[in-house]
Amino acid sequence: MPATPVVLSRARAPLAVLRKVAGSTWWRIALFVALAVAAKAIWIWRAGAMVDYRDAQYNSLFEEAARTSLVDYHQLPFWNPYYCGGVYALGTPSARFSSPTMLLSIVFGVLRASPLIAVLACVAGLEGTYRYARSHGAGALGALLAAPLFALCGFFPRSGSFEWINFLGFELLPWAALGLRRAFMGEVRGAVIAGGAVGWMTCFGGTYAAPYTLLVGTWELIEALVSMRREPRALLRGLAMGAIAALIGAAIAAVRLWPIAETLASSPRVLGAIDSNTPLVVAQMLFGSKIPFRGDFLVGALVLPFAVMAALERKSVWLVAQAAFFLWLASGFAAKPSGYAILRTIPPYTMLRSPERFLVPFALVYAVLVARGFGRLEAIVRAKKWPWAIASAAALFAIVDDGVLVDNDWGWQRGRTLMEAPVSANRDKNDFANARGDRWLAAYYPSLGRGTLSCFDDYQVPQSPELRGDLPHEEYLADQTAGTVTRTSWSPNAIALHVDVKEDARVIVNQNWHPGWHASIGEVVSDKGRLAVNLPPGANDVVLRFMPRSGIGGTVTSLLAIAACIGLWRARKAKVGAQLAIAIVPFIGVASAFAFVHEPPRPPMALVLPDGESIVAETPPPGAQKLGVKLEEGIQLEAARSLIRATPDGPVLDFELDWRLDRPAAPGLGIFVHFEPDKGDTVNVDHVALATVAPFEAFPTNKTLRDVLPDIAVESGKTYRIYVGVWRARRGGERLKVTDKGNGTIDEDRVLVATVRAP
Amino acid sequence: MRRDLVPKIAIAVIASLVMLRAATARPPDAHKKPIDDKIAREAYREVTSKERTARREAAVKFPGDPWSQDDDFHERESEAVRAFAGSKELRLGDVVRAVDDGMRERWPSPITPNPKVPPCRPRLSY
Repeated sequence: MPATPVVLSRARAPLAVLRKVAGSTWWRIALFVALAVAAKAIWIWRAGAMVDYRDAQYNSLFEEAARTSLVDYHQLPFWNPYYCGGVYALGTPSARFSSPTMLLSIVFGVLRASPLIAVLACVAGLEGTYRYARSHGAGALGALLAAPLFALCGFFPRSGSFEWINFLGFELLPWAALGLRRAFMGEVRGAVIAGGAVGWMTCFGGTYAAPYTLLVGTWELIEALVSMRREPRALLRGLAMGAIAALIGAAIAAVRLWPIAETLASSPRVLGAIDSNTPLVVAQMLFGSKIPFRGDFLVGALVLPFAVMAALERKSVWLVAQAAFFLWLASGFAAKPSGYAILRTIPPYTMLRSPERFLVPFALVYAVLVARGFGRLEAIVRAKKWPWAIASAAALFAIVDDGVLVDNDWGWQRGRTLMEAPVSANRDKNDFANARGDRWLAAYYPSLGRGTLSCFDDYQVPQSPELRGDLPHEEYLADQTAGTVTRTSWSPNAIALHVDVKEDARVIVNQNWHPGWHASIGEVVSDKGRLAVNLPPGANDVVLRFMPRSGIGGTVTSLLAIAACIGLWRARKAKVGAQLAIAIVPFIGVASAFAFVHEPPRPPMALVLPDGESIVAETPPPGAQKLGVKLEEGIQLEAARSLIRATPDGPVLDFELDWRLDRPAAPGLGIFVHFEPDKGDTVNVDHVALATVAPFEAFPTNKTLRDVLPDIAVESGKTYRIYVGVWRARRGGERLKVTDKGNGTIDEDRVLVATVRAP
Repeated sequence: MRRDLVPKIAIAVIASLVMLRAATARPPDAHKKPIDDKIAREAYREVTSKERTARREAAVKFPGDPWSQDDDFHERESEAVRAFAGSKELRLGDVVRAVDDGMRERWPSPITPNPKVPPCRPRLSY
């Protein structure tokens, strides 16, 4: 046989094997499982260790608290008493426990389950990307080789290394996109897949994954609208299936979506970072800058030519547009105009940060383009009868690129600093108390039967400042002389007390109040944010139970939604009206909760200073220096007051700014305060919430608004010039212009409000 | 069906091995000493004695931001807890517990620690 055909046949053989593997579902999944395990090997090998990173502390705590509720107390994890003095567990945006992966945490323990979840998520991402690429017309081999570009993209190992396990929910993105694509083509099963994926990622703490999926879904919708514009019946059916996907997704996610919406409505997430990523930074994140290739969102550059080949095809116009769209968003405020800035004005995107995370959906589109590009190369080789060695070499490039991604994964895993895991001690289940705690060691508290008051989350946690970490008893009478209180049993969602009082009395529980708490006797009230119950005189056994309407209604809705998914899957040939009806049925859970679960309304936010005085006043306080400086948006800095005083720990400044709004405040504003010392660096006292309570938009117009900032530590011997202004802190970062300087001294749209010398 | 048997078995074997390793891997520092009452009191005294200085430094670092000041203090406190646990080869959880027990039972210390924390009000950006 001549030499060339031998080379050709040998070059073709590996491709044929790979193509066969790609075409067989189980062989393909076996390959994906092996690849995922290889990629997470170091993590698996060191399973059970705690990552020494602050976010790992609370992410592990959320999961452990839920596990404890289920395993030790046989209760649904509605209330998490171990964090911040008690928080609504279902309303905690980034908690992941309401997902099927909770079973792994129960069986293996939270930390040992993490790498298993990572493997499962990775396999889901690989298979999902493969199928999504195929739905875009990619060949089996191209889709197989390109699937790791998304599922092993640098974002996932990076998230894993910080124990941001909830971000692994992004691996369901291709399933959601695939489902929507099929739904818009009229398949009800596509709607079920999309709804299921979105519901799952939301229940998995998908604070970013779910809103991002909405954007990917919007692209699928636009593509469907354009491609089916001349087929109105098909289009209508597609839209109906899209509606079913949305209904099913919302219904499955109801157990989390409703409580989270409630939580964030009353305790908003205020973010102000003006994130920018230049094209070079984006390129480095995607492709790395040196060997070994490392990148926060590494997808690899070796396969870039395939993506370019696909992009040159006319039928790739939608994918190219999508890729450009997500790159535009990922550049944040660096792009002019900034799509990210526009998006940040639309809920829920107002509460998201780190625009580079839009590189995750980009990675999916990139994978599809690469898959299609490889298919195009194969077609050219076949049509022009070029040597198959070219296609084999191309496949080798793709495999090397996949290897680069695995190596990047290992790099992130090796880079983790590990520490000892919390050890569960044998303890009395009724022994629970809130410690002052330490959020930097938060994960260690549940195993001790303690909650940590010191905490962090990305939103303004409804937390009472009156909680204490040194109480001999966690439940006590407001009037200690009124009688006695004895705890008879304790669990996360139920506290039983024996109370013996001579007259009407208030029992205070050293946990946060929430309207979902109910009492068997008496009336539950908020006592300065603490959980409390007013009781009649006599000896009473009272049980406090946490039964939040949104938690109960959401749980029922989600369970019904799972049943509806099964129904829809089987009823794929039913009429559209019947299918829509099935998708709506789960919302009976929401309606029933409103009908049968009573919950008092949340009291309006108390706009008061720490000393109880109102922030809203008729005039500035006596002694304040009148300024009368007017700024854009109808904001006036009426007056300011600053008073230096000495304390044993050093000098402090009591500082007050008095604002007035001529009209309702625009959203997204913040106050900047620059302390410029005569020597040393400027100290910023920037803030959004007046007196650390609420932003401008929460306050009425034509009143004095007292922005009191007491006890500002200053350094002895320094003289400070204090400049103040207003900026669009949660938008583009621009300062509001001064329109009338009044009695103030103005410098670059800042008002010089005081010059003080620290003794 | 028979054609799929091999990959299914491969998946089952790989999954079993992975779960076995995840269930049995030994985490770092699994064999540290348990704490006794005397060392626990020493831990409490050592950790809380730095509170005043740490709070002042935090106040200078984050003026006008009570939550950030408290959070910065707790970061310093966590370093003190780790340092003590490391120096005595103790389990971290035991030292965490000692600090809590000391506060609750008013163990002697040069400083009376502040038992309250300001509500969580995260900064605009990190």
